[in-house]
Amino acid sequence: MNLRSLLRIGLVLFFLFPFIFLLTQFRISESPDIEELLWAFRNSFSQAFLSALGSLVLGVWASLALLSGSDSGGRRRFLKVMCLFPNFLPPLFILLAALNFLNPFPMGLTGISLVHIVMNFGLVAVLMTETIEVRLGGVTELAYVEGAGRWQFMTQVFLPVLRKDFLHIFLFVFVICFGSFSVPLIVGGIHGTTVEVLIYEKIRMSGDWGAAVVLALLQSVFIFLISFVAFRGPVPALQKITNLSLIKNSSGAVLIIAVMGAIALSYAQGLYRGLTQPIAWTIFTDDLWQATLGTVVLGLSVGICCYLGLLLIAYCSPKSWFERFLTGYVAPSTALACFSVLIVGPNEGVIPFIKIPLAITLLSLSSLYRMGWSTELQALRSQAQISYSMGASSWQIFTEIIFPQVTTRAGFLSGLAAVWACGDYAVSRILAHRDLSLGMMTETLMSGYRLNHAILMSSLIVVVAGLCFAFFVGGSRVLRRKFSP
Amino acid sequence: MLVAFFESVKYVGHLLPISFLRIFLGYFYLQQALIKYRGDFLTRPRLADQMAEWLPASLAPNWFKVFASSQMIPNWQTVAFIILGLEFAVAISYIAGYVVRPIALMGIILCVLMLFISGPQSEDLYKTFIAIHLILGWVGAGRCLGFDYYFFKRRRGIWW
Amino acid sequence: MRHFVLFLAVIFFGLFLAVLNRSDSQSGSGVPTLRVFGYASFTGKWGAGPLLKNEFEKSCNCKVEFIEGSDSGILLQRLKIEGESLGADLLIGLDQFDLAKATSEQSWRKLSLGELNVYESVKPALVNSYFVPYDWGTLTFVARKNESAKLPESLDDLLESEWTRKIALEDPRTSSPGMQFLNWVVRSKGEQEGFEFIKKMMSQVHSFAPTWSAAYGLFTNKQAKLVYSYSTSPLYHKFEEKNDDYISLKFKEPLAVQFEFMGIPEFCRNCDLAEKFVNLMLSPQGQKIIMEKNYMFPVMKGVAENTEFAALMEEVQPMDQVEIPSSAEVDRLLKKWTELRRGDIN
Repeated sequence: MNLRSLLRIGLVLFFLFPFIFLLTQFRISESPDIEELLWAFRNSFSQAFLSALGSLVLGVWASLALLSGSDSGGRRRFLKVMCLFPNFLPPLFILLAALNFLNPFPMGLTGISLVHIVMNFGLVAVLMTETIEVRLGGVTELAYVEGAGRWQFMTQVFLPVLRKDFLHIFLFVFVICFGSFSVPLIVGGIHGTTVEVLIYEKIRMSGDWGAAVVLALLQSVFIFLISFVAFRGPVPALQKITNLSLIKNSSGAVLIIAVMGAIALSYAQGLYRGLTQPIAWTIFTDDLWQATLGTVVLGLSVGICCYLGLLLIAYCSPKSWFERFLTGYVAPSTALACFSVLIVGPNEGVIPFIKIPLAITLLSLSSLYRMGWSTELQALRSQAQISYSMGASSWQIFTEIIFPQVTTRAGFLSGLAAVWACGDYAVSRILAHRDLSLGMMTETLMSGYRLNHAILMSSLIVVVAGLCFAFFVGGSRVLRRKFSP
Repeated sequence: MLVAFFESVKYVGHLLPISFLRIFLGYFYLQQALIKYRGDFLTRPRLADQMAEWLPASLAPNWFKVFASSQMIPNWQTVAFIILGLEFAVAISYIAGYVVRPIALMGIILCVLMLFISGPQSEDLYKTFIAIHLILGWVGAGRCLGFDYYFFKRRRGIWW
Repeated sequence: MRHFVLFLAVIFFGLFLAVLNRSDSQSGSGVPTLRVFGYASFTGKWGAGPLLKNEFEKSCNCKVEFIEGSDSGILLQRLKIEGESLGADLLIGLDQFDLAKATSEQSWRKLSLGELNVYESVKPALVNSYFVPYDWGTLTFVARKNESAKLPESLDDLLESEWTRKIALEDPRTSSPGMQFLNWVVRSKGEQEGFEFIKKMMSQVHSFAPTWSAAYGLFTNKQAKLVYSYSTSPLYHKFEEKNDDYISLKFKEPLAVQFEFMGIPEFCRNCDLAEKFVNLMLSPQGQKIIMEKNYMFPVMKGVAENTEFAALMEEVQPMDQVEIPSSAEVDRLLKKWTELRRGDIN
């Protein structure tokens, strides 16, 4: 068995660890109520399906607007930042913004999908922009020169070539929405019960952890099966970015500015209310700088872990079963995954600073893989094969061919993971003994009436998360330049 | 790198005596830093008390006294953290012989700071330390029995 | 230069981690550490915890360390997993619905606190010798003054058309106030009628939030006109925000009561210190801190007098009998609730 096989098995075990561990820890006393489970699954599925579809359609439309600006241009950068804005905020703030702007808000399936779409379509747009550039650059120019019409190009090239990317991104949003907890409960109306709610109920009220693990396992198997069916066919190779005028369309910019502007405005109103509170200054305690430093440490360490994890996956690829596993893998519910990490070893001192990044990496690495890492790697496969047949070693292929081409994407994805880590409180609350980060402090404020102070505090999260994101995006570009042959 | 560490004795052997002085000073700083770390230097406002006690009689210029009383004493914990961090940095740098020149500069700044905020009993000690830091930085004491030699050999420049 | 900056960064980062580590594990250095498991809004910077800690550390020659959890369910699980190895000495923040679960999952020390001079409404909560309440509150709907011409005065009034999709509730499966609401309706109307009422309420509810904070956020953001919260909630806005716009509603039906309990696990290491901390929390000084920071009623007499809390305590009409339901009973009610919410999202 060579090093790559060992690493592959190690990674798979790392991902499966929570399931294996929890199944040995908790006794499964009774089988789940099938009827209850079925309708919870139906609810989860329908809301996740609609949310993913909506996010994909709007995301692709918005990405055409992002393409219409030059890569380094201010307008494009502005739109990109707008698109990523919801990722920097806790979900409750986005939910409140959506509810503020749509009154009366359509509760139920439409409501859930709307909120999920608002949360995700910007990220989809950014991901799609990069994908379109590297996949269709050359073909678009050729079609443009040959005189193909926009409609013709869209139906005969755009959709067929990007089919697999669409599927990956669809699955990425689908999985996120399938496991969504707060949104279905708040805007789901009378029947807003999903599998995730059932899992939480088992943990919180019944204390039946065995049943919760079984539900999480069933959820994961379900997603795994969907992904297994969905992915077939090759991915086209990467191309040089050239002329994309045939598909550029600025109308999506209106969508981005309208939706993100509404969120930003609602957030700014909250900030203003927070600042004008008579006790606004009370959030600036001596713990604040420690929490800020803690957030930086968590953000950077999660980013580094995810960056290394993504590179490790790149090194271990291609391997059919391994890729199938990563595409279909869904981490168990946050509470379950975190408790499995909590049980192992001590939890004092600096240990939370090790365990929290590990847990967040465990929870987000598979999402990052679906967010475009898999297609990125598949697109480089032909280059790797050529190099291999010409006698290059796997290490050489990785360092000289794969790494320089994928490091920018890895930087972007790990930057996103760092952003999530900066705003996290669900994982940290279980694994840390006290408020270590701004996210945790924000949650503490919210749980004690101080919503406006929480919004004020979250502005610091936005700053720190922005810095972490910039660090990874910038750092990966530097690495690319250094390692380019 | 390890080879260069020992190789330096052969090629920059004339600096060997001064590198012993460097390592000794590093050890001294490490000991001081550990005593502070294990004690209550970071948890009790001893530093603030010390500053409040000696600042009026200190040789420090007026602007420093104003700055110390308005910023350093209220934020004594941050100041204590920075001082301790710098002491550890000097200690590790001197023992390993890594980035000795810029660290010597830091050492001088640290000594000047301590000179301003400490009582007259340690005045002579800090003045002597300033001279030693100056010499260590001047000759580039990390080039012998230190990692600086590795970088000096490859890159040259004033930092090693 | 780059080497130098990186070197300094590594040293300072290492020192930062070491200091963090030390402040967490300083217990070994002489003085004993009392480890208190509690929920975040109590132990956090703005809660009652830090003031109680300061007060206690003045006289105990010890250190108090809080270990946080997001809610009592997670705290109990944490206590089970790492309580013994970490040396948990006291658990704060269980409500009456958690007690049965807590008793079945852990062994607890009997508390000998003697005769406590508590309010009449608190006496039913003293039946358990392992747990003692440290504060209590009644739960009701909170509204904004002048937003509606007629505010509801009974549960049935909530079904009026004015409140359609205007009530923010918590889901009992994920939130303790939500469970209180369910229990309140069932106790006030009887089980069958109560669930029929809840069925009708479904069309009135704006949303079933997963947590109290989310429901309250919806209310303060004016998404909902009513929120199920504590009778004392308006006092927070009055004292801290100088905002007198909020009002807690009086209902014909006696209001649900929430007690917050504390208990000492059998495996405690500093059991005497834990008992002393319990005594501090029940002392006039401790009760005052809890009342003013947690915005809940004190359990002991002689603390709230001449404050707005006392006036409010006079006004509210809590349920006479506070029963501590068994886990099976809680499960049964939740099952019925889940059935009520069964169906496809549409």
